Amino acid sequence: MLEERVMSATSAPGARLAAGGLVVVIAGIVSYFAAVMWLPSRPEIRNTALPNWLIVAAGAAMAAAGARRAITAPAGTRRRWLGPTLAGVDLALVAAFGWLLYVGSTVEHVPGPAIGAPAPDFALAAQDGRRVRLADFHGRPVLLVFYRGHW
Amino acid sequence: VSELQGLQLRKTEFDRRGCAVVGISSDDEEDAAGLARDAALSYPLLADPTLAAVDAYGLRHPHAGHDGRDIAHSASVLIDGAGIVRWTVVGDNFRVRPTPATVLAAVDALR
Repeated sequence: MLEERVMSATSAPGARLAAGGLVVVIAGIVSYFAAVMWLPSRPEIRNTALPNWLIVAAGAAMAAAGARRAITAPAGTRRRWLGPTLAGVDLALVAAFGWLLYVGSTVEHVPGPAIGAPAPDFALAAQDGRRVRLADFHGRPVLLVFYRGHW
Repeated sequence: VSELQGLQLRKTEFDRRGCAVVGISSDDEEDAAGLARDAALSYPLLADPTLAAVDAYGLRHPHAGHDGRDIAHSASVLIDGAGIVRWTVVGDNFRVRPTPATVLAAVDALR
């Protein structure tokens, strides 16, 4: 029993720290999507993901420290590979999150309507079945929000 | 949906400026009505399943829907009382949208 405990203290150096980092990174990523879904009052989180990146960065630092502990452990330490492996998984998740936010969600640029041009009229059905035309709003400003729908 | 909900949360501030808010989606009428209900929108959410208005504004995004359908680019277009386009944001990244505060500042700048 005592021997086992000594063994566990000297095996898999840094793995617990790297695993903790993994949990923190996942929390950072999940909290981003939770904020997008349930915090419409905080659009800056959706746009910048700043608080989520701070959490992810903390998790990545934990993973890096865990990997470092494993690498600097004496040669022949049992399961020395575990900490760096977990840190690698961590790094992959961070990269995937970055890809999703800055690459996967970018679209081909289109100019949209020209500033200073007359806005094209339309006649479309609203949720109550009423037909709405742009001309209905003549004399007051209108914000049109094109929404992606269907995806 | 959070963009539409975010505008709903600041709806009274648009009202105070006399500015109407109108959503347009490439969903069919049933889907758009369901979305408007789920997001509790008090402003019109228009269904544009044929993309007639989306095309008129140059905002068709081909094959971008989950099932390969054409949908709209995310965009905000501010039109003044004379029917002139005065301010637009067309997203290069559909995750990033103008915040209601940014849009309200653009409405204030119309005067």
